[in-house]
Amino acid sequence: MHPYLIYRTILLIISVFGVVNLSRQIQRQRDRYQNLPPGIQTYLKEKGSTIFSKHISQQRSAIALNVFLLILLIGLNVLSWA
Amino acid sequence: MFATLRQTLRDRTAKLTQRFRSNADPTRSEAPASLAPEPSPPAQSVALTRPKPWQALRSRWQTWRNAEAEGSDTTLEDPLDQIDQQLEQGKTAKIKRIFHDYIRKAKPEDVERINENIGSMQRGPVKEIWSKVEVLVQLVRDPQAAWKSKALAIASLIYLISPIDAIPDVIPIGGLVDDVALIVVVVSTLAGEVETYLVRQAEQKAEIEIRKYNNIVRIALTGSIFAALITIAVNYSLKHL
Repeated sequence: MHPYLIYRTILLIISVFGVVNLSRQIQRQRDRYQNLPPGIQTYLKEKGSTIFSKHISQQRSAIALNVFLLILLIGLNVLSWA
Repeated sequence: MFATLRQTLRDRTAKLTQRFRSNADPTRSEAPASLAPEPSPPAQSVALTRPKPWQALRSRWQTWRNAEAEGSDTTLEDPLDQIDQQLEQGKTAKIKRIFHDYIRKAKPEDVERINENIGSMQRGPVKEIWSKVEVLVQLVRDPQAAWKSKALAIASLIYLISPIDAIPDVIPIGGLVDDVALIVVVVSTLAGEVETYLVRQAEQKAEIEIRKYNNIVRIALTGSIFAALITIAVNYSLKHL
């Protein structure tokens, strides 16, 4: 078996595990969130979105670099399969 | 004319005095006159049957006595309320005195004592407000928090972990009620400070998490790119060399 294929398979498994874990966390937090009073829900939503957007904008360059690296990787994979 | 009038008044007074002495309870015979008046009584009898001020006073006093005898529970409510209020004030004063004493003695070394003993306090009514206790513990542990707020939090947590306070903690359930009340009051007093602290904590956590996942993704992508490049190079060399 090709070593790169093994490497990619391992990375795929880790990625899938991460996505499943994230969805489970979101589901758990959503249950807790829906049990809160509406006023606190609104407050948390506003405050959370403010904090999240602020820090996303602060890390914009790092995220852009990651997106560039992802596009490069996809390009290289296409090239290796071709 | 005045002599006749004076004589009439004297006669009426004499009659009323005689009637009062002969009748033990004049209200029963005199009072219904106003409730059920006769169709057309003569002027003199109306004057005699109309209730006098002393009769009204006596009737009112009798009514009050009857009400007191019938509803003894309701008459006891006021003194009980007063006693309750005095007891509450006494407890509040005691809580206040102990709390002020703890605030005066609060020092950063108390944080270790709080850390050691706070875990055992999650019982009874404290369980219901455990999230508030956790917030105060986090505030106490934060080196950036203002000392004024920290001292209040330390004093309230020391009060919580101390077994002997306004109501000793050995008393089941009731022993922790004063602790709970104090924690709730302190958290509501420090609401602004606690909110600022929680927002700061959330911001720090958000920054750390976003940076951490960015780094993980970058490392994984960089590794994958190198692996892809090596694979392409190997494939190319195997094909052409």
